[in-house]
Amino acid sequence: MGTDEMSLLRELRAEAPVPDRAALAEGRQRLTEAAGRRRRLRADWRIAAVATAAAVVMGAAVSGQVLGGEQGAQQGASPVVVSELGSAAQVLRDAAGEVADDPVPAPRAGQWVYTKELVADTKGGSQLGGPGSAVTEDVQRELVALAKEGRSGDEAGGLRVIEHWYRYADPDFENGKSGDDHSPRERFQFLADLPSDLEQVKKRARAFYPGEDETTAEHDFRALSVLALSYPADPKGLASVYRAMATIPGIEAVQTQDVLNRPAIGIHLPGERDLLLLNAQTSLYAGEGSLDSPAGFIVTARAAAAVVDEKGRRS
Amino acid sequence: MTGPPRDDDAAVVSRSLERPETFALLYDRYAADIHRYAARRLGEGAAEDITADTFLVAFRSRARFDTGRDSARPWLYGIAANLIGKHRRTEVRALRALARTGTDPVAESWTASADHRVSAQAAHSLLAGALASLSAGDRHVLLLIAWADLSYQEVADALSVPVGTVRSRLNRARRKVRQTLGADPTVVTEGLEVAHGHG
Repeated sequence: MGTDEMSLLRELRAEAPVPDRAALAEGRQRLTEAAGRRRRLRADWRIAAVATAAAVVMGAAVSGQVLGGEQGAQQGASPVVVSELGSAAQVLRDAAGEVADDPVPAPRAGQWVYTKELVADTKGGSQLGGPGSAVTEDVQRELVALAKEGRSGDEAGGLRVIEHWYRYADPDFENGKSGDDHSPRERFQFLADLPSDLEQVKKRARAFYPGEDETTAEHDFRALSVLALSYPADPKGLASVYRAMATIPGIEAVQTQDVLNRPAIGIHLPGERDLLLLNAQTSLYAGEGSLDSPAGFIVTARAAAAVVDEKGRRS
Repeated sequence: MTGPPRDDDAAVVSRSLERPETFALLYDRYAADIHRYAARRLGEGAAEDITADTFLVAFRSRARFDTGRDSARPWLYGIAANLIGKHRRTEVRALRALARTGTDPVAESWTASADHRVSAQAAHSLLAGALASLSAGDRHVLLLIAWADLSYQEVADALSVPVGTVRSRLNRARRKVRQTLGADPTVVTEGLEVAHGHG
């Protein structure tokens, strides 16, 4: 595997040393004084710091072993298949047809948007094997169980569950202070108000997620990709997003699976390695992947999403 | 090996409301990571202050910590990022110096002698130039993922922005960096697989 910009970025100043006790002592003293107590904690905090570092290194190794590499592929797992579908235009138009008639959600201010995602942080893509590597069947079962029953912080197979509750009508993201921050309500409304003219859809998307130093195609794909992962989404608006994406010159599609072995369609710009994953059955956002490995730079699989009445509820 | 009882961070924060000294456990868990992250961004000298201030700010605002989150790590990185952001001009100046001269003033802060000046490889100089050109928000997202190993969601939590915004900013920042690297033919001959001609 070659060096991409993220690998290069990780190398930059990577020799920065882990601070010694002296470097951290003053800060700890200031904190202790602020806490109004001066007595030492019983634990040796240096040992705690070393233990944390060791855990991080071990986590990276386990992640590499499970998610990629020849060993995983030889243990009877189904291989990760990535096949070129070529032009994504028809795939996206079909996806638009699939979602356009979905039931229209009716979220209300005061409700919460719950999402559960499985995330793999890959520290150095080269540890994770290349295309064709796969997880074992045992790990696959663990991942499916994790997706179904896991709670925030639970881990299996090198993946971690992250649950989150967002305010549907969060005033902090509706104050217009930051150009590309939008609450779920703003995004829902934006989708619902999209016109049928696909050039206008792209123009509005670019304005909704402004950018610079991008080609129009790159800007379109970035903005439309972010809209595609909206939840809840107005179905006709989502269909317009897919149709508009289909008009991006050169856009390509691959057939693959996400980390839960669910069939998925990966959409990408020509020359790009990152994939927007759509569930092949529902045509809804399934996560993110990479052409380079099943784990990719960051793999995200959306395991659940729901609009709920209270924070903490999952359905 | 022994260490402090491994309560989750939310429990530590909750306990610290009654017993403030408990909060030091979070320092023991995360100060080294925060320090190293700040050092990579601004140099070792600034890192000590950033680290100390991060935990003081966190301590004073601990009543507002969302105890529904098990880990305090994103919260702490968010505070650190905010503090680092106050040194934006210093950071950008150092990145531009690296881009221009190939010598990294930040990395020199942890080298033993100025005689052994830290000369970066050509690609790192280009990278520094690209980082300097990013908006502060995009740079925070990119470096929290690349250097702090936070996930999208954790970056969203750290910076208090929606996860879609994280994705958007990361996408934009990576593309800009890629384009900068891809513009220099010497980088390609060194074996980098950077995509060219993204439009």
